[in-house]
Amino acid sequence: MPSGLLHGTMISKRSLRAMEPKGTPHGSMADRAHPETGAPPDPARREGRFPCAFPARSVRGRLFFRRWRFLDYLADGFFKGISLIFSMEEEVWTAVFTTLKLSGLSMVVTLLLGVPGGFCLGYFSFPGKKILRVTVDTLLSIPTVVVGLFVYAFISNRGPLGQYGLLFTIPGMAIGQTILALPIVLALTASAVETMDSRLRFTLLTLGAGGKRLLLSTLWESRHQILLAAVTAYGRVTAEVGVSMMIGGNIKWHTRTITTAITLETGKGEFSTGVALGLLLLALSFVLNWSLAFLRRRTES
Amino acid sequence: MNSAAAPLYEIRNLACSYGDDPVLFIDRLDIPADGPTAFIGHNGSGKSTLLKALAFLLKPASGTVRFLGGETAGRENEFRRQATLLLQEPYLLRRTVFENIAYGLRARNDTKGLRDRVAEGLEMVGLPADFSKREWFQLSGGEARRVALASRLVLRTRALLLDEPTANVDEENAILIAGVVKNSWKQWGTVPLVASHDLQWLEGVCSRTVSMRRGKIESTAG
Ligand SMILES: Nc1ncnc2c1ncn2[C@@H]1O[C@H](COP(=O)(O)OP(=O)(O)OP(=O)(O)O)[C@@H](O)[C@H]1O
Ligand SMILES: [Mg+2]
Repeated sequence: MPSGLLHGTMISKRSLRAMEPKGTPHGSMADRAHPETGAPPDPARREGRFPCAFPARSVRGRLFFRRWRFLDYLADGFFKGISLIFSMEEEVWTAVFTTLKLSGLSMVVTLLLGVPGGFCLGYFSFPGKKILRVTVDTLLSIPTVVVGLFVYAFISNRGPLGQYGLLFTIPGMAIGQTILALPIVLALTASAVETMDSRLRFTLLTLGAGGKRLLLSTLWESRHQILLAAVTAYGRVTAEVGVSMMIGGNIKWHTRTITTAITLETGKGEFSTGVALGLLLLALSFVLNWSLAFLRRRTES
Repeated sequence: MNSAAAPLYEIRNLACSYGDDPVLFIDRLDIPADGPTAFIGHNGSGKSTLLKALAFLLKPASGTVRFLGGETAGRENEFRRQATLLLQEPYLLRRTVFENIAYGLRARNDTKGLRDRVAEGLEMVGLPADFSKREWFQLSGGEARRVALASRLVLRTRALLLDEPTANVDEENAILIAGVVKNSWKQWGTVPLVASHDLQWLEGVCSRTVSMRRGKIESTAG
């Protein structure tokens, strides 16, 4: 959090400057009477000594309080957030379950399409393979809002898929998230299969494998990398806001996910709910990263 | 298979290449089925390439290889099951030792008494039976090579192609492997073809020697 603190300091300095009375841009604050209390200028300040004798009377002192209040606020939100988690506050947990349901659905579709597709992309050579690889690699970094925009256009009432009523539903959101996650699984699976040891093929063949067994065994050999791809994709899906917000509409009890809920609660100033959800999201990504690290070790050995 | 008298391999005008580099040219070579054959030669003389071609893993650029009198071109899948190769740098599948050794038998749908045969394979290469539970990454270099050898031995193929089976293997186990290779010939009629730099070890195993140089057969003896 050091960058956050730094940021906080910078904001304070700016607001410090904003509090200076207009029209005396060059005057140092210590030379003037206090703008609100009208207290006389502080001689200690002019000499550059630390001005904490009567904090409430100096601007910096008030800043000190303000920052203190901010920390208080943060801590308050934090503790309230934790109590919200443990008191099983329904609003919090509904968002969590929606996130899990949505990401689960997206991942099932993504893996069903992505693993066989990525395998074919990496294993076979066919005309146009290079272009396809480049396209998939480009789609890796497609912005979530762009996906949101296109999916919205397709599934909204006037879109070609309008009659299915997918807008503001979890399946509709899953379409968008699948588009986000699919390139990750495709690209990582393809490169896992491509970079397989050349001895693997010889070994499988000389042990008598052929046809379907050869393909399945090759796939099984790259299972750790494929799992790695899945976990990476899952991370992207659970952390995104754009698609969930644009396609889901952040409808309470229905399509509100952890990320969209945090966006909303923060906007409302409901800090504690945001903190509760943020902590849960962090816990989720901690579990993901932990398993990623474990898988990396496994793939390297 | 046509006749017992047919040589194991009949090689005619065989040429193999990696990409555009031709590395192996063999005008004529017969490898009889009546005992083990050794392949010797300097580094890069083409021993591994020849063994891969004989295991039907490399498609020849030209020429023919007949196996026990049968034409092999276009029927590699079928013949691959009768000639198995231990690679110079063996690769273990990312599975347990048991699954590694059982893989070839499973591929042949020949799983009767699988446990006993895997245990027998481990025993042949001098590894204790509880090794079968180990994962692929829990083995030393020599142990991994012996597991790979065991996974070929249990198949009891007609031809057993071994590319430096004793590299990384200690002396005691090298002697053990020599016994296994000779035994596989005596017991099951599996014909071992062995490439190695350990001439003394080869002498104890093989009665016939093919020496290679720059991708060609220099001489055959025995
Ligand atoms: N994958 C490859 N791609 C290109 N050239 C190769 C490849 N493998 C081997 N060669 C070349 O083919 C030739 C024969 O190699 P091969 O591996 O058959 O030799 P070898 O007799 O087995 O040698 P060693 O005793 O070192 O194992 C060498 O000149 C080598 O450089
Ligand atoms: Mg070699």
